[in-house]
Amino acid sequence: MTHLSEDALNDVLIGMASDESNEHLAGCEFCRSRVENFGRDMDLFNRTSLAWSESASLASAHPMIPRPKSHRLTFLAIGLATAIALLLAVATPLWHGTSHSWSNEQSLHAGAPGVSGPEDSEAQIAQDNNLLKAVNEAINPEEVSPLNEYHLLEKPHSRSRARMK
Amino acid sequence: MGAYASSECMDMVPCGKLESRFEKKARPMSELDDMDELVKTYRARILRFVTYSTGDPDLAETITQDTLLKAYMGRENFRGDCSVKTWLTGIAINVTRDHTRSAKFKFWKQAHSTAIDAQQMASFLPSVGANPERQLLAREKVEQLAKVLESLSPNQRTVFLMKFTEEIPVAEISQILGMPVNTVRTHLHRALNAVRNKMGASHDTSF
Repeated sequence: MTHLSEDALNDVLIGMASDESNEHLAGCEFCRSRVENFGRDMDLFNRTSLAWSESASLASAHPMIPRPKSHRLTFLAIGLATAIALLLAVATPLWHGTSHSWSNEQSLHAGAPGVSGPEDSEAQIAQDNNLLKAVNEAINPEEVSPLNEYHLLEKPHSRSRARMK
Repeated sequence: MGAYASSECMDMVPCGKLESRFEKKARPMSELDDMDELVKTYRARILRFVTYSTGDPDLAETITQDTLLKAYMGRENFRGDCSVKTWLTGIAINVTRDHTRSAKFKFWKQAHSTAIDAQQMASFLPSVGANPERQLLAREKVEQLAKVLESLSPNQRTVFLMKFTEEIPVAEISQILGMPVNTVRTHLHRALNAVRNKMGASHDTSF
């Protein structure tokens, strides 16, 4: 009795057995035992390697879920740090500038505490001048001319005429 | 590994080719939605597959982690046309390929690599009976098979593991790897010949 060739046996093992091979296996205990023994060896290997792999998995015990979270946390931390750095970079010069101008004004307006404001523009100066002029005019009205005060501008002939009357 | 199909969609949907590309189905709820369950159920299997595929247990840890994360993040792409195990294996293959292609991997592979400790692995052998001789024989077989796997070419090793460890049908292996069925068959034949030759007559003895 001829047994299955190596190729035919391989085909049986990989699940691509021909009808002839299946017929042969049904009646040949030797070939059937070769197939079964291979299956048994593989099963033993699979169970052993899986037990080893499970043990390795437990030993390493890498947390799987937190990884994306930790990525998120990392990005959040980096973002927060960047934001703080930017804030400091912008705020520090501003703070220095403000405190400088404030102290300058303080020294300029030392005699008038509480008076401070932005530098005047040309238009503002002109407006202020007009206002001051108006106020000045209101307070000090134009001096009355002596001519007007004593009615010296009146025509002399009318007076003489009156005298004549 | 270089012979694998490099389709981008294979990264996330290796099972996409198993169905009509024009047919969109709602993804059924599955264990993929629970990351803890996914890790609990498949981590060890993926780790084993990748460890033997790469021959590097340290790298396998990283690849396994990446595979499970990638699967979880892309779980919407799983349409249930194949088993979760098959889908994960496809992702693991692509992640492995990405890692092993990188120049960084090649550098470190030359500089330092860890090897699978066949003896340590065999120490996890389940009991095969009260007879110590049988236990010893079984342990030797497991060690021998682990060593034979290391001697196979990457393609032979991958298809062998997919077929005999992950128990994925040849047609699905062909789809996942983008290889014709006959090529898969040829790799399997060569791997089987090597395994059976190196294991000698031990296959003909049962435990």
